[in-house]
Amino acid sequence: MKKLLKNKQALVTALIENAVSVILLIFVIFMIFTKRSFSTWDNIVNIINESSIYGIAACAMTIVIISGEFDLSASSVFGWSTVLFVLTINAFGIVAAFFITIACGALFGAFNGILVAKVRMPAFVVTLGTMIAIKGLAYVVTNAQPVNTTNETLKAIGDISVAGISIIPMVYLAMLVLFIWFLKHTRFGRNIYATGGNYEVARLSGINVAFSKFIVFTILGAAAALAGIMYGVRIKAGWAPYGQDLSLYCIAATIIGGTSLLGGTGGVHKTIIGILVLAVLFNALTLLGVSGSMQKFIRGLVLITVIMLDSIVARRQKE
Amino acid sequence: MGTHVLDMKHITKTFPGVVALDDVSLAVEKGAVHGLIGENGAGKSTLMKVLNGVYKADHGQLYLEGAPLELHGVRDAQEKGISTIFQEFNLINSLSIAENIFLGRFQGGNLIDWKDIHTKATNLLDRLGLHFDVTRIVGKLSTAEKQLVEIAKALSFDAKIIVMDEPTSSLTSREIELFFPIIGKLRESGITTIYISHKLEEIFQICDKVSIMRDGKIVGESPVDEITRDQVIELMVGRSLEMEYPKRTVEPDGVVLSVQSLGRGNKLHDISFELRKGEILGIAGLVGAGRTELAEALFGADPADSGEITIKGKKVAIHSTSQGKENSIGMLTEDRKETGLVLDMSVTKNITITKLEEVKKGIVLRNKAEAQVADHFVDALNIKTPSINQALYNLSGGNQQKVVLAKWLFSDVDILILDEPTRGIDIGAKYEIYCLMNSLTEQGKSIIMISSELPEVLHMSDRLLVMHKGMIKGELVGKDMSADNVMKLVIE
Amino acid sequence: MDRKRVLDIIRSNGILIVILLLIIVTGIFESNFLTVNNLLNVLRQVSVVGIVACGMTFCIIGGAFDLSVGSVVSLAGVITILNINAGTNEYLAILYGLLAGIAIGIVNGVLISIIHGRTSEAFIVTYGMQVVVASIALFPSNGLFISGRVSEGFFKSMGQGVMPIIIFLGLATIMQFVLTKTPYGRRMCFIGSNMDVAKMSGINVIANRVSYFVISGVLASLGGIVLCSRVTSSNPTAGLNYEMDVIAAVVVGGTQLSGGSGSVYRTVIGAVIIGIMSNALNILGITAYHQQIVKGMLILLAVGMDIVNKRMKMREMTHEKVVEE
Repeated sequence: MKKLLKNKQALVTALIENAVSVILLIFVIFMIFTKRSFSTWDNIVNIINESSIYGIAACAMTIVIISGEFDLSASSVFGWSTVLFVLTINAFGIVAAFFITIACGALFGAFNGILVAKVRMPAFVVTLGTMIAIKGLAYVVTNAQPVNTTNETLKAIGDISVAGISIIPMVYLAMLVLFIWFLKHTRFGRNIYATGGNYEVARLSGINVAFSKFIVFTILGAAAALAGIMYGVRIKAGWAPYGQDLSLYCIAATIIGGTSLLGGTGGVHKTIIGILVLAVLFNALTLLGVSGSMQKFIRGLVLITVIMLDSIVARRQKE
Repeated sequence: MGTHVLDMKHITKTFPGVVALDDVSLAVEKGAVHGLIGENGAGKSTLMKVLNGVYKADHGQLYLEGAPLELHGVRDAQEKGISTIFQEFNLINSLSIAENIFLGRFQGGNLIDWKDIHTKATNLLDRLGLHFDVTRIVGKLSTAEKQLVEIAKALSFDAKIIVMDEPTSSLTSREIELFFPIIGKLRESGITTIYISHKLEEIFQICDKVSIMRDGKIVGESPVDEITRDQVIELMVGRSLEMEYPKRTVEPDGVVLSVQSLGRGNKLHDISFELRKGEILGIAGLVGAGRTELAEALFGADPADSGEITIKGKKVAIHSTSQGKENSIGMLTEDRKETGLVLDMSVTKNITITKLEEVKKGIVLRNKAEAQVADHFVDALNIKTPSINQALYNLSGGNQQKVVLAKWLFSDVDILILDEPTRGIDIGAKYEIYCLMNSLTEQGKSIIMISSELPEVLHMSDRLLVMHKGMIKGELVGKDMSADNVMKLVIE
Repeated sequence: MDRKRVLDIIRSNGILIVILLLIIVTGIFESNFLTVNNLLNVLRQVSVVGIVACGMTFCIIGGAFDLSVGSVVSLAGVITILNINAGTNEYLAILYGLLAGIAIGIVNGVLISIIHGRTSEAFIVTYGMQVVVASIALFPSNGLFISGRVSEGFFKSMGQGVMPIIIFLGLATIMQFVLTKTPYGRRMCFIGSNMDVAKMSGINVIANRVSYFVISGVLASLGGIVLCSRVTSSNPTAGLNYEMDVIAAVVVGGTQLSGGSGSVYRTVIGAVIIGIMSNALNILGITAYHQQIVKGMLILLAVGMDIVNKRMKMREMTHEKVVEE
């Protein structure tokens, strides 16, 4: 009797955990049959290209979440980076622009990291504050106007296309490989898991938990900057409000993928599913002619649902 | 002297208001399984914490294999060869067995050689005669398996001494049977085990020698085959002559609470009993027996999922603590600091929170009324505080306890559940509390008293329920209430 | 002892002092700044944020956090104006707007209670609600301004003259009274300090917490309605980024984000001070976007000091000497 009950519980848990993948599957099948334009190669390429931009940031957000925190400021770093990238391209050329932008992103991340890891302020407040401040900075520097560039090299890079796939998914892939390797095979990577799994136990075992928390924010800052650069590669422009929904998108993707907000588990490879789910979902919605505000509504709803489910699953596992 | 792997000489440790260890000397022989037994609060945990580096003794000295030993924390103790297996495991549930064993100790730079780690981990488990898959996630292991991982971890530190703190408290009897051979394997390897436990049977079964603690002292020590169980119990419990208990004068009459087949998950099974008006019902049992879970189910903090509760003849549903309080049930929690007090707030505010309606007029709280209440209880319970507006964190532990008690006395509930009411309170104050309990029952209130101090629960209860593994093992009344009978019911 | 007290006061009111200095300096350099007219104007402008911040204060003291207030402000305005334009009785229109806030508050409260209100997840849930509600506000007009056909009457008067100020300060007074002098307020402090202790004292924590979200929601909608009344139109994104100003007001005022203690009056002061500061910065030629940077940094500074403050207090409090820190 007890065994039956245990099996039933395990079944329900498995169902909840994989509910999203199941729903995605159903949705994809539905779309294939309803909208011709969905299953064209052009559209698939579109999905891959689009989702890779946020995907780059999502890898790093996953790492932050594994360490037991989260970051709302990634959105602003993204928007700021599109601006900074364009401005520095026009002033210093593309190579310098690349390094400057990433360094700046890393610096912002490090700032978050110090406040969270050393001063021990709640990540929520810290990243809320920096989100506001960095967005303000982007507005100030551009006077709220978009900025453009006609840099030839940039155009050439943006035009790179292999069977329709731009350079961005390739960068994403490279990042994925790098991050997956980092998390599995380096001491730093494993320390991040330990820190998120149980801060105290990790600390007592001699792991430098403060450093772990610090480094993940720095990495996310750099990744958000890289994502912004990729966006700049695509549209050759920069504007402060770009990427406003990045943070929530990446958090949702991470949780959908199966990494818990509580930390200590999951992985970057799992977040790929989350990104795919969201990308397919919103691609489908656009093809179905759903309005912008409705899409926003669904985005919010998905986030809430996903958090609730994650929390409920986490509590069931505790018992 | 030459074969002692560990010598603890004249260890004394005090905390504000309490002498936890009083000139304790302990000598442990190499390769032995040395048992340490005593009631809750006897000092076993404190002694262990001195041994594994969490506490620094105020006086005394430790010797490891003859050489003086200075410890600077748990990790330092581990590296010097003393590993402790706590009741709350020091494991990270989201990581694998192998990773937990070598947590923070990956050799050779930044890259991890998983093959090496897995091989080493598997070898360690082999030494214990176990064949786990070391890539399994610790969170999915049973409690017994987690414990074995902890032991493997200790081995990985080349431990000379492994201290086990109540190792079988969450194990099934089947698991216990599989556990003892492991201790045997440790002995074979020349590793010394210090086995801290409540459970007499186990001590007699696997230990070579036993030391008995009481009130922060070692009151007896003997090889296991030269002492009887009864002698051990007597040494554990024996302060009967020193403690005075007020006489119970109330004749309990009329049933106020009736519980039928109460159950909750796998923590409570088929609990049924009655509580009468003016009665003090004691609940005895070991840590983990389910007593606090029962209290929480009655109070509504963690409601039962089956069974019935009847109060004064009416069936009631208690799904929240506010419902519990509405039904005139209150609960003094075991862990006062965590769940009984808000340290930032004043004495007054902490006391009046259980019955704010009493100190208000209309919708406004009356400062004067509140102050009167606080003054009354400071007086009645002899609470030492410079003022009633003093924030609680300024008071000593014992006085904080009294504030929690005051809070529930103020609530004026008919049924009061006390979970270890005199823990951490000095002897004089204990007597005051017992008198208070008596006067409460004289006023017609009923008390359920959960206590691990056998003398206390034996003397103060009108009836005694003994719990074990979530069930009521038996009920003792009158002359049958004795330490022996309690132990008999607990150790089956 | 005296030096310690002074340091303590500086530590707990640091931000206020800094801003006060800024205001004094501006007043010295700009003659128009510290006039009654100007200050009244500032007060009126601050009132909407102030009303919402009062609700947020209750939420924070109770240990919760409501990030959806910005979008509730927008939504309430949209609902009220639409109803008035459709000819509904203006009192009813206002009621509908308020009901929206209550409904959203209930949803927030229930969701948070289901997940037992663990902090990080609670934040993101209300943040998600922010997005959801904001999109709902966009539906009716597809994102455009809705100009209100508002005639003289109660609704119009809400936003004119000193009415916003009266509503703001009146509310603040009532709420401060409830907080400090009623059992409800006392329970709020307990729940915000330690939910477990509150629960084990027989308090119905869930019901109380839901009420905090409802209050936050209804006050956010009240703020949105007053805002609409002032401009007699509804901007579906009126409340965008409102949370920043609201949180800044609470945090600068000195209420701790950790909950359990605080004061609505302090939030009033915080809101007013920030309003005056914005005004001063405007006069000095510093634009809104610069101000945003300042606001972000302010929040960080205020919370950072609060945390450092608490840690120093904790160190003074330790009883047991343990070898390991």
